[in-house]
Amino acid sequence: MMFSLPLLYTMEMWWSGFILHPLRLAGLMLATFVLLLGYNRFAGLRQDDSWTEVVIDSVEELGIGLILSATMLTLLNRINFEDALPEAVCKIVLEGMLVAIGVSVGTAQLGTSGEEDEPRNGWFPQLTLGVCGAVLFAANVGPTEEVQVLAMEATPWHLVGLMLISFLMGGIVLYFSDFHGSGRYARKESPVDIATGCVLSYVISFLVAAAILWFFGRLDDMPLAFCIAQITVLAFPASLGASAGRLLVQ
Amino acid sequence: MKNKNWLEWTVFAVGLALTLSIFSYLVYLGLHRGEQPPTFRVTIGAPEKVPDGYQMKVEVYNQGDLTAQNVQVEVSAGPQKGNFTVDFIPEHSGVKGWVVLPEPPERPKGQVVGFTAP
Repeated sequence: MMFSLPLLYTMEMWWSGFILHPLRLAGLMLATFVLLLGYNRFAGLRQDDSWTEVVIDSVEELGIGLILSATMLTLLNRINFEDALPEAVCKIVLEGMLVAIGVSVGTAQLGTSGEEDEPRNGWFPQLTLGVCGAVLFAANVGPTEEVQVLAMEATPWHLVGLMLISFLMGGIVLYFSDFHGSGRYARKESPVDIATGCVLSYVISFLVAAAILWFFGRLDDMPLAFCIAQITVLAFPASLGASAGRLLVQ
Repeated sequence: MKNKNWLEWTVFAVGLALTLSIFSYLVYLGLHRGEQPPTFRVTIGAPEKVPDGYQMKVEVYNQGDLTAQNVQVEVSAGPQKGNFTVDFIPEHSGVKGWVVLPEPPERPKGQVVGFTAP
């Protein structure tokens, strides 16, 4: 739960629970389930599991996420029996999905036996883990109003700078730092491989940041330039997630 | 599958039931949600004497289908006025607040004077 604790203590998250449309929250449940399937398949405790077991594990994590979220929100007095049912359910779902991702990452990371796993070098596992890492990092920042404030006050040069540093840091972590065995997961056969890897990593971050902001309604009825500014601001933590986070959640 | 114990199967069964029921509920809510903008019902309780004047409990209920933000509630009794602002009132739910007026209030009236969409 420690991976998702900051969001249980974030005001915008409780508010989003009753502001967001229920169908968007249903979409979040589906997206979380797909993400958990991908994560459990490629980084779970038992990587040799069949898809059936991966599905079972993912459903278990969703259930644990919902129960933990309901318990914590009750203890923090964010929901109580006087609340309207839709309001309480929406808050539980919103927090619960992020807790479920935390549970999944937590069990995979804290429960490892210490044996070195075989690296999963295929592009699809790495893409999935990159998305997981980006979501894990960016979801902690995405719902806050600070992203909008930063985007509003940034000049185009600030945004270009943010974009460059996201790009560079992603590349450094993946290819030049030897961070957490990065060499095993990131192919670096030629400069073209490195450039492709950096671009892919940033594209993942940009798309994940856009998806998170859309989900929290931050892109609704906003001009395109402001949407791009917000996405660029959030793509920085997402890119750290897609590079460093991806290596950590292997 | 062979290494799952009864506890894991229980967690799976509970998880499946919870996930499916909540997902169906959200889809039901989403498809049946109206688009009625917020409208409010303001109820004022009996005044109580406090050191600063007369304190009244005010309950504001949002009857609309959408959440209202920055809801400004005003209570007036003759020339006296009191007010407070509520961050959010979700659809079909209410909040409680209190206003304090210096003189004994006669026939106090409460109303929402403004709000924003989140």
